[in-house]
Amino acid sequence: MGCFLLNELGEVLLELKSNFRLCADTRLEIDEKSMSAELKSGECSVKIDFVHPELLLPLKQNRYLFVVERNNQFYALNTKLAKVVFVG
Amino acid sequence: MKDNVYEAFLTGKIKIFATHKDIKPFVLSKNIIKKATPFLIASAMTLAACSPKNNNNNSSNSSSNSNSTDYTEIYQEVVHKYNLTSLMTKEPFSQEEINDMIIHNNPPVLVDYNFNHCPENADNFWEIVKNGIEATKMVQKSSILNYKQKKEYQIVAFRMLSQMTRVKGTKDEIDISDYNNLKTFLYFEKLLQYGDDYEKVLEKDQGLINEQTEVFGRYYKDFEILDKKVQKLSGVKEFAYALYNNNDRFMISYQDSAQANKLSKQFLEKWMKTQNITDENLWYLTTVEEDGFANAVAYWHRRGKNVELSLGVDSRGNVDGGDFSPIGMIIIHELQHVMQKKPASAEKPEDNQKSDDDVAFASSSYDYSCISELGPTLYSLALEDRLYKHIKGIDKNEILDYGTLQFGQAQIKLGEVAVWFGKMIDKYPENSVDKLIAKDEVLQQLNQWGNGHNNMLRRSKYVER
Repeated sequence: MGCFLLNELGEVLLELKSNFRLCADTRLEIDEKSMSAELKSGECSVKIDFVHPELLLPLKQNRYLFVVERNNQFYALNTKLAKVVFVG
Repeated sequence: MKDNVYEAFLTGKIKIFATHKDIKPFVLSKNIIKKATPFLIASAMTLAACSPKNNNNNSSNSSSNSNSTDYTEIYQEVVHKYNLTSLMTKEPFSQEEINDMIIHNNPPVLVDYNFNHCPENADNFWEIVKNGIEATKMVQKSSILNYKQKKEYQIVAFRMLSQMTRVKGTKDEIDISDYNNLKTFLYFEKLLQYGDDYEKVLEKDQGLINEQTEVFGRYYKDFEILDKKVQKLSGVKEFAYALYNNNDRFMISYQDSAQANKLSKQFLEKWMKTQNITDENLWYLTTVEEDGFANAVAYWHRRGKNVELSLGVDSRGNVDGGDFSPIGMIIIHELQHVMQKKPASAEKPEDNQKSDDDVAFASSSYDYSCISELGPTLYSLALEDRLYKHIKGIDKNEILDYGTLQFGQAQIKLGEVAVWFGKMIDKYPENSVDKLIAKDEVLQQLNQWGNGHNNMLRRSKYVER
């Protein structure tokens, strides 16, 4: 359903194929214990089954990530900066 | 195609992680990124890395296999497959071409000084872009910029060039109405206008903090937990209120201000290192006489926007009411408040029904129960106590008489609180001050004091200041 990108500056980008609209309050809630996450935006949310442990430190340090929502493999519908929140 | 988010990812290496456990990370090496501009990274990533089949096949030697992939073909394939007509006629510049553009830049004579933010034609576009590349090289010699800032100029110029597209099959024929080309033009136009004025060119405003800033809301959950715990502890509330409203806590006098300010900057440097904060643009310097928001975090709520904070600090350490607090201590105290602020504080749908005054306003007010002030104020008290003793050559464990907090019949010495909290800081090396306050041992002591019980064992002697 998507993937994370990590660059040399420690910034993280989440690529996502979904149908919900990204709003201003977009946030990624990470459960560190189960290494899973939930992307929430407005009333919508989407589960992310697995967050690789190597991503946890950069996400903690930056406290935000880019999210790109696509309607197909190439065309980006929407992009947003999302807050990272550790909940577990 | 909104590819602006990829600008930040044009570094030497990008690693890709799937959202399924059984797929190994995949590396887009420098060689691939050299060939792949943002468009291509997007398609390469989704086609190669996100496909479990491809990734599993390549997992043992992913980077060597990926080197043989022709990403230009992938780009064309995707454009045709999804019938992206607007992209069919365009193509990005290759990395080699961009490097060549930078190294062998031969700018025409700059005649356009109008800065009217609109490229007139392709010649005008290249005039601004090529002179902008030259200006990027010139700012490297600037004496007012530091190494990091100069590097940032280079990186941004590189990103801007990477996002341009040309008419397919041509060398440098540009669609000047293309969104990304326009962005590149506007950036270089701004660079030509402002040169090494870092704040104007790269739009870094000193003292302006938004939700992207690393400190914003870093420990807001710790504050929420503390606030919840304190609701049941009336003594802690009493203590917080009494401490914050007692100006005897500003124990350092103006006579020692020069030395105190200097030392406090060393404290600040150490604290920032512990907190892993590198951005020194988080505050601006001002004076309490001229600035109503000096020495405070001001919250700027504007209609339709996320909340922004501004942090101004009196450059001499002057505090309202004629007191003094070393500048480094003020910065630590206020940044601790920034860390308490809950993120995602944007306007809500129901705010549409409210008036502008209810939604858009500026405020520097604090929580009237003083709970948000409790941690930062205790931290300032303990640090300033240690700084004062350092200047005077007094042992850090000695309890000095700065004044008292009154709770019913009981009096608590501020010096006693300062030494005790200093010990708590050493005992619980938490980065979040509210997490430290929420420790049972700490809350219990504060609650007893606030309820008028001073049961602390006094092993140290009091000395007059």
